[in-house]
Amino acid sequence: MFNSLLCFLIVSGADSIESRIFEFQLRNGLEVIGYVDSSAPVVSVNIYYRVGSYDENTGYTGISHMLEHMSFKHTDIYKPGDFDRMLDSVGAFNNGFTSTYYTGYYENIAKERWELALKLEAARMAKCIFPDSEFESEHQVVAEERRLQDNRPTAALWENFDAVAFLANPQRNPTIGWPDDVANFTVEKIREWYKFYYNPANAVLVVSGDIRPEEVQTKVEKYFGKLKGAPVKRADFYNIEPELNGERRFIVRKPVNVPLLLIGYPTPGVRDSLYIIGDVVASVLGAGRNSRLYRTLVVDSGLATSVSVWNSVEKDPGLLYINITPKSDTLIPKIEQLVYQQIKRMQTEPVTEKELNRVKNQALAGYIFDRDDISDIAYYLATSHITTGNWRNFLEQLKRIQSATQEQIMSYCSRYLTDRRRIVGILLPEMEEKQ
Amino acid sequence: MRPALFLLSIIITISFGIPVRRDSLNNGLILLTCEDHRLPIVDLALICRSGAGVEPKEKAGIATLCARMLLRGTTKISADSIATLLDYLGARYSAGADFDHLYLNFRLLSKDLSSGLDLLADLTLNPAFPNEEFIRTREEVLTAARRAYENPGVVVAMEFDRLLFGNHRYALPVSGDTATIPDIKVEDLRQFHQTYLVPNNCFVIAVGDINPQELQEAIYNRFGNWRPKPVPQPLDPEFKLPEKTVIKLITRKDMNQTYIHFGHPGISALDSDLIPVRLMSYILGGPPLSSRLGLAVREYAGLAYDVRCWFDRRLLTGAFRATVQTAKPAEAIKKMFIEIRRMNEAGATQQELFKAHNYFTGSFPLTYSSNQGKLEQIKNQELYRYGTDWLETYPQKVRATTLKQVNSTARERLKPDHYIMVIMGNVSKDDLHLQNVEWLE
Repeated sequence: MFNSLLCFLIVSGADSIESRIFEFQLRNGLEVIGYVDSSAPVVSVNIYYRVGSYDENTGYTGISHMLEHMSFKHTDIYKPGDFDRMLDSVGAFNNGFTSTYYTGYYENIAKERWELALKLEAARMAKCIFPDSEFESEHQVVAEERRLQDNRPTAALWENFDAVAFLANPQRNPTIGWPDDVANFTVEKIREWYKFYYNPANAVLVVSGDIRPEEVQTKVEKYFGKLKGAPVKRADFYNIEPELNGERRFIVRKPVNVPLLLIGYPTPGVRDSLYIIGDVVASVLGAGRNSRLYRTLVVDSGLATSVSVWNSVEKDPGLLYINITPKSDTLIPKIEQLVYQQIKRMQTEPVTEKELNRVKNQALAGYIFDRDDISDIAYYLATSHITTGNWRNFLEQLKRIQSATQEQIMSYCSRYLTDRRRIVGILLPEMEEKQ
Repeated sequence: MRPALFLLSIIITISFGIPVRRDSLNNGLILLTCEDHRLPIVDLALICRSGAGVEPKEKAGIATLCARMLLRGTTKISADSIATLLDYLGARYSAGADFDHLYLNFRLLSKDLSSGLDLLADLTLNPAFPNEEFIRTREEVLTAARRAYENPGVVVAMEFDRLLFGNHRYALPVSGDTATIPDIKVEDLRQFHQTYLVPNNCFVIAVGDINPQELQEAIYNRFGNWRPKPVPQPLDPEFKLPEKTVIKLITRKDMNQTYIHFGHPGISALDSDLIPVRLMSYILGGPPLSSRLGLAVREYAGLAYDVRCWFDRRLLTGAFRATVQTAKPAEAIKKMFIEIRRMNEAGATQQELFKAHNYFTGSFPLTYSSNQGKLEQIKNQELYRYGTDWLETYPQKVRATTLKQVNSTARERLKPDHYIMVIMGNVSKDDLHLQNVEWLE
């Protein structure tokens, strides 16, 4: 019974995601995607710009994030605090966030008020001004946000890990920026960044919820139609990372009580048809009690108290991360040995039908579960569109997981999860200084 | 003829005409159902009205461990079989506890509802608490407790709780502490289960693609023989308000930012002032970009990324708390003290209250536009016994709250000269320029 698959029909019928989506593009280049779900009188407005830490050179790291902060402040007609005051006063939830590949803003808002969100986002896109006087206090706010990272030991391990794993790809830089770059932001840099990246031709607008397509078209045209588009030719570092020809290993020491072991393998990006197999491998290794590494390290040997595995690929080749909490640092060598044994098994023996079906069932059910929340759906559509070039790849990924084979998994593990392509980072307690 | 399954049936209607049905089983178990057929999914929860708040302080962590152990084997099936079944269903699931409740949550495809209910009943009624699983689970919880001490924000909050709540259970984290978790025995979990997981102390919520009548019968079939019994209730904390602000300073030379957590006794979630207090604390320290604290500390002075204050929502009296992380602690503390005192003495303005009314009522629909949002709101209504009309009348109650009520709570519920404060960072007493305070060693 456990080897059978869930029925795929439930996502491809008349009430499929596709049947609820519409899209259009304004003449200025703004791409618009709509998702209709009228079950509650709420709307989620999301605008994503094709700019993030991926676009930042040394000296500029963190600038997209700093701009995100500044974009809430001042436009031609809105004064600092107006955005939040206006949205708070109608009970909207709003925020902004910066990632490797995009900077996003959203407003979740009552149906009858959603035009306000469009109005504000159009102002953010084209009318921000950055007075010198307002820059300094926000600069200090971001410096404090950067310090929050500095004082979290696990954050230090993560930051170091990506910097060690990527020699050339900008994924090596933290989204918030390196401390010295953050300290040296100037308002001129902000203005320059804004002028270059914020315009309709470099953005995707996703509106989901209780909406009608014609209403969306009319309102979007009203607020964004007159803005000037200037397509941005974004740098492409897809193939920049040199092949890893030997394990990289490092230790971070911080005042911690519990060690942390992080293992990573470079995995293919979205232009490789096998990239989604990384998600399947991660699930087999680390999703839940029946996963191989949880069983081996937590249940059977008792060497660790937690294991998680995930494949972090949005666009360029990324990393498959294995995150383990060992019971003590002396157990780390044994833990590593067991992890590598399990990976070897993945290379030489097919995963069982039962394991594969577990992963497929979870992916399929998860795909339906994620439709419960209109802001989740908007997020998936927007990020898929920005990182892969087409929101339909969000649906395509599910189909690829459903068609994954045992042979593909073995082939993937043999090619990408090898000893010489491994990065190992360990977080350990501070050592006593010797006199 | 089939006997009446439920003693009482009430249909209540929440703001958008979504009916929430509340039924009581003869043994006291409550069933709350909310139909939503737009997706073939069901969110299912079993909530026990007792959580960490009822356990002895010296064994803090029992409720969390008990909840997690519900997933680790019953008298009928092993932990492995439970995981296998849930994996096969593609379900998402969790078990845990808060101070006021213990929960088991399932998210399932609706075609699997029957299997999910079977499992929910078995986990609830027949846990085996196998020793090997217990030892492993306790180790997991203990490791998490040890790791918590690495996070400065958690450390100052824990120290504040110790100072404020003293001998009460609220003095330690929900999941227990490194000193208490190792002392918990599997027998403590059995006793907790036998004492508190009884039908008259529990309720089931089902939201999504369900038929309430069918579900009623399904619940009766699975939980109908569950025997009720009296449940002990927790005792309220006893507070001694300090005569003047007391401060504990934890020096950490390696930190480049100072973490601050301060406050004093707050209110209970059952307090009749709950809504005016929440409106007042929203105006004072709700959104970090537009509240009074947010404007003074972050927006105008750039002293912190995050600054806020709130009143705990707990069954028993919780805390009023204010927090900030900053490289300039003296300036940030000064501004926060000024803003809290200003609210205490002069209150909010009509314009601020008008905006707070709009925020609370406007954001309310957003909180239950999803199945999980609905489940959370229904849970709070039932858990805190707000009454069956709570969800329906909440916006009106917010709108009806006057400036006089809000300012009365500001005067009575804020105690600006009687804080308990914990400060952690690379900072000395002299750096902080604080007058008329007592320093704790």
